[in-house]
Amino acid sequence: MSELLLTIALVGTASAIGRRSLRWLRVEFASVGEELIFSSALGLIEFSYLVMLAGLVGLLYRWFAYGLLAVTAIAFHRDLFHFLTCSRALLARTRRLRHGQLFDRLLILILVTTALVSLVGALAPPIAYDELSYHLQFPKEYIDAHRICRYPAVVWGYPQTTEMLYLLGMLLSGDIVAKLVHFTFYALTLAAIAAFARRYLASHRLGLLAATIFSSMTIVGWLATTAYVDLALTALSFLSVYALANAVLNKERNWSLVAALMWGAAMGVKYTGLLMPGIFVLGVLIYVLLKMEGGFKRSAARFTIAILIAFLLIAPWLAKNIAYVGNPVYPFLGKVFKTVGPKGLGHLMDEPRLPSATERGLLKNLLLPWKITFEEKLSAGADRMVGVGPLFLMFLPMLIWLRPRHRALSFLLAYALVTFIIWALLIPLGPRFLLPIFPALAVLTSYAATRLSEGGAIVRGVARSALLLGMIYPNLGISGNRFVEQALVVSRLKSRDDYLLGAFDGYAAQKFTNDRVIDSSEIATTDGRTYYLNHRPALTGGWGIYELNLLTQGGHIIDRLRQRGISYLLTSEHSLRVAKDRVPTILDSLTRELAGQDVTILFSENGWCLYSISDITQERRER
Amino acid sequence: MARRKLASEPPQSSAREPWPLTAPGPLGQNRACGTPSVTQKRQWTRECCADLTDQGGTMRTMWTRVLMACTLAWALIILTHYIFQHASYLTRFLQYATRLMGAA
Repeated sequence: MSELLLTIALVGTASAIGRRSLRWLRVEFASVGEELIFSSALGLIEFSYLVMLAGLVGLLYRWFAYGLLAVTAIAFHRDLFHFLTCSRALLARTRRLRHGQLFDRLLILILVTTALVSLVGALAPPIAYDELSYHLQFPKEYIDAHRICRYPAVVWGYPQTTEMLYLLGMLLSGDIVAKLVHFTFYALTLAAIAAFARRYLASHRLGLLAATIFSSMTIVGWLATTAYVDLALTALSFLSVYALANAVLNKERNWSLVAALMWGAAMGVKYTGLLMPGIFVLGVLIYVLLKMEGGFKRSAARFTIAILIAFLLIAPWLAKNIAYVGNPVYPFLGKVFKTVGPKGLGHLMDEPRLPSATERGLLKNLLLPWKITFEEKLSAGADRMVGVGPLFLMFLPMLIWLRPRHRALSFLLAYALVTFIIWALLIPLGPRFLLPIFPALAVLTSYAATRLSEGGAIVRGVARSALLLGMIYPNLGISGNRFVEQALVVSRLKSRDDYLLGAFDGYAAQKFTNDRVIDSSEIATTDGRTYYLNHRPALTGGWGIYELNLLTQGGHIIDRLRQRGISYLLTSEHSLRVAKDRVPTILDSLTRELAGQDVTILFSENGWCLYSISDITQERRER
Repeated sequence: MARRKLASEPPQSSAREPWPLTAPGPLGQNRACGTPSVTQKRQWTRECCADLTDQGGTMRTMWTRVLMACTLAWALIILTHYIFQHASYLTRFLQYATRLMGAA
């Protein structure tokens, strides 16, 4: 409960500082909800960069976090009061929705249920792969060092705007607040969808339906329980497109600066933000430049400012990579920048994990929507399948003959199409990387389904039933056991330790390592999920086995580790299984070495093993 | 804060959907936007969202009905295929519900 209150305080103060900035930009809002959404998003971005600055000068202490909130609340107390008043008014307004039709009430029920299930997951301790590997691991390291510092993993090169917010949450209370920050971006996306539908389609129901479609997607519901960054990217991308729509469709030019800010923040959240929504945003900004009244010079100046604002927000992360490894987009483009650091890692990251668009061929590219719906499912490591669901494929083809003449819908359709093509051509990864277009697709699906419902009572009944079933059915795959476990730990009926021992296979091994291995010992891990390890690994990462591969360069891995002063090696079955597919020879070599007489196994449980590497050198063994 | 331009105003797509009544004032206080005139609404509807309001009776043509039936059939095929492909979801859910009821 205290974590929830702290998160509300964080978002409230962020909203206050964000509102002041937006007033300075002189943008006009169509509704109170719209103002709250953009204020909160911009305020969170501002907090993130303030924390980054504090991290650069070594101020990452608890007093700083509370001081930041207190100073902001005092300095912008009028805006904070506005946030509280408007939130109360909006909540009062939502109560009126209860008196709607049965279909509306069912939608509200689905929306509230999916949001509550995600909230319970967000309140439980972190167990997902990427959050344990780096989204929470880096903030933990920075807090220990009280500043931003180098971490020995490839993924450290990714932009960390959201991680700075997680860091703030962890300073305030702990990792639960960090997870709730990600949940906040999920809530912001839902609110933005509803606000967009209300502003441009004048329909509460279309907004409610679109928000429910988005929330009912299991990939969204699962991500909202984690401290990943994808929902932050989604929220900021959609807000960028929303602001652009205001700038283009309503000719309110100051909104183009807000769009640039949101795009810049999206790039700071994840590299993919550069292309998705980058290409579309850049294209529309150029259109705004060409169509703007008041002379080319003035327009060009405004355009330059917008682009500068956007790139200023990702610049600190590029500068960090240049300073530490000499490659601004590390670990990508290793060949171009001749990446220093662990040799050749950049080259490995250049290799796509799925066939590229050209390799797939035309037919397979055209069938991608089908493939996303039926074949590409992401397993989160938990016993819960997460996917896109059938609704997009069910209703979006209708837009081909419907040809919506509404400009806002055409705008969203153009954004979704451009971004989908970029994803298909340049980012051959799973549907999670396509998430930034899902809010737009949810609005379009909602519109198509509503139009279909206009075809008479029978058609309406069948279409609405199919809609509800398409929303509910994928959620039946959610593990009831996992939800009960989360509810138990959230309600304090189960201890955090007991929950983690059951939910995260590596917790027992890391707990054992924390208890038995002395702090000064150096540890290497083949698995990146080291969040619960008290020791700072000398070598780790989701790409750990590759790093070991490159380090050895044909020699004995264990000997190379010893030369680096590493005394322990923590392995997991998962990391070795991944290695079996990618670097089988290295895995065979490592397995042989680990079975040797000079290595002692200290712990083995749930597929995780802790090895003690004895102090026998290569020379002694050869002799 | 200045009143929003006509182009930014949404249509009133059905009798159930209320026109946005408030906009934030300069000091954070809401004030009424006022109700647009019938002429304004008609103009907006004509320009921006003719397809939403079904004014021209386009949905009543035979061709539209055929397309609509095809779309509905497509949606049902996709849904059925999805449910069959993920039949384990239902089995798992039913097993879990049965166990819960048994425990209760």
